Amino acid sequence: MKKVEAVLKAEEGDILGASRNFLSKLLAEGLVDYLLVPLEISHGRTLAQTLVKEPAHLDRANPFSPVMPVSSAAIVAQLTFDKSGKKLGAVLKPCEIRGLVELVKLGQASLENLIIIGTDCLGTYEVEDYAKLIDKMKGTAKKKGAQVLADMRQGIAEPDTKPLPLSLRPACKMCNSFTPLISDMTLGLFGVGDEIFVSLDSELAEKLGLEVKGASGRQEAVTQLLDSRTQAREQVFAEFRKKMETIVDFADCLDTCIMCYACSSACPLCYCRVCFFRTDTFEPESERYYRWAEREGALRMPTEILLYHLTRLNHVAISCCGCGMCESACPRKLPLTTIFQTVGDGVQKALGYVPGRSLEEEIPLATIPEVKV
Amino acid sequence: MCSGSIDSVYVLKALLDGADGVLIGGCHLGNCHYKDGNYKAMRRVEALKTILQQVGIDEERVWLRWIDASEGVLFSETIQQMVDELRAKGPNPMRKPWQVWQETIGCQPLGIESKPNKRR
Repeated sequence: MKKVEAVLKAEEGDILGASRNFLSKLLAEGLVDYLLVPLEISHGRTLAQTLVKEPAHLDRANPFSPVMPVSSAAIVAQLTFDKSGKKLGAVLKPCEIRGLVELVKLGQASLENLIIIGTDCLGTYEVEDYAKLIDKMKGTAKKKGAQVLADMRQGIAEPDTKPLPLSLRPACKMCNSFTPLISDMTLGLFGVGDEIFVSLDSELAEKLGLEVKGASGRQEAVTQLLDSRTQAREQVFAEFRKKMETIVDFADCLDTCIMCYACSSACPLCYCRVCFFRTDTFEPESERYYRWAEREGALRMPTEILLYHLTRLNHVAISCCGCGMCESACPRKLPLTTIFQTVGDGVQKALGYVPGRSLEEEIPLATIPEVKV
Repeated sequence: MCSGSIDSVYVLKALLDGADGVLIGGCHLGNCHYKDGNYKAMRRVEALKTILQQVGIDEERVWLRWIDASEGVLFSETIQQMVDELRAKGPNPMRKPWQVWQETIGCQPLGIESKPNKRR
């Protein structure tokens, strides 16, 4: 099927309203039976991924959610792994789509009957920061949501929220893949005015009665942001690589880890069904600890901090989609985004792999390298 | 045990518990009883070494060599060579994990707003 570009006009600049109408149509026309989309909860103080059946509930939807409490890649896996046959539409951010693509390759999610509605991502804030911002703002919940979106669209590279200036999550600040790489439909905000750019199948556009029209400023806006983000990203990589001389430098980054496993719970790609760090694999009889303590005179407890993070790196780095959920979940705010993205970048380049780019490209650890015997 | 069944966690556990080196011995390429176990080992070790090298661990402490069950001489030569090279490197710093934690200076913010991070 041919993809076409179209625009959704936003009456009086009401971008969210236009997106809500569009999503309602998808449900009403039966193109999808269910929609997974972020909805405002707690009077707009936060948003939560919601599985919507009744279009009426979409009046709280925000496909361009400024927060990402969890990665929907894992949620879509939950909803599709057993191929229930339900027609699901999932509104996903680019990093969530990349994560989902990796999960499909790992056999933990399915694209059958799934319509991916990818969105341009303006970046996201930490959940607690966003709630503080909403508390400071005046007006109705609906107005506040629209205002934040407008502020974020104003200065895309460095969004300026009012009255409380917020900083994007570290992962978002260094993200250079903010438009969907793979999607059935894309809802775009880059380089458009009071409208939403939509890319979708021509048949679908006709069915939904959309005006087919190219978005001229999009490419330019994307390139501009790409440049500044790539620069930020390279800077993070360079600083981390410069610092990592010995194991002590790595331990520096993890010195306050409390082994709560929040990072692994939040990571959409931590794929083991049962993590061996949560079994008794690394829990020897107490005698062993005493012996280890005798060896050097002192033993840091808990003992397996470095092993835990290095094992996670070994399992996940090749597929790391850069969502930064690990760092957002970390109660100690360890620089996990930097570690995983930098090391991930190194492994991905060494093995010639880009996570989430294509469904055909296999994860290198599962492929057979070509070698002369 | 097939070299293809070696999860990197085994190698990491040994290195982080202070082993000076880890040798993964597999059957020669093309000789795998399970068809491609050794190829899988190769990929996994390649990834592991790239990761180790990026977090300040000497990746040359991990050895992957193809040694058949019948190649006793090759095995002994490999071990000899490994011992020589590891001896030249000196002990693995993780032999003294407490010292490693003593030397840490704590995590400074890395990246966009980071400040230079000097040890002592």
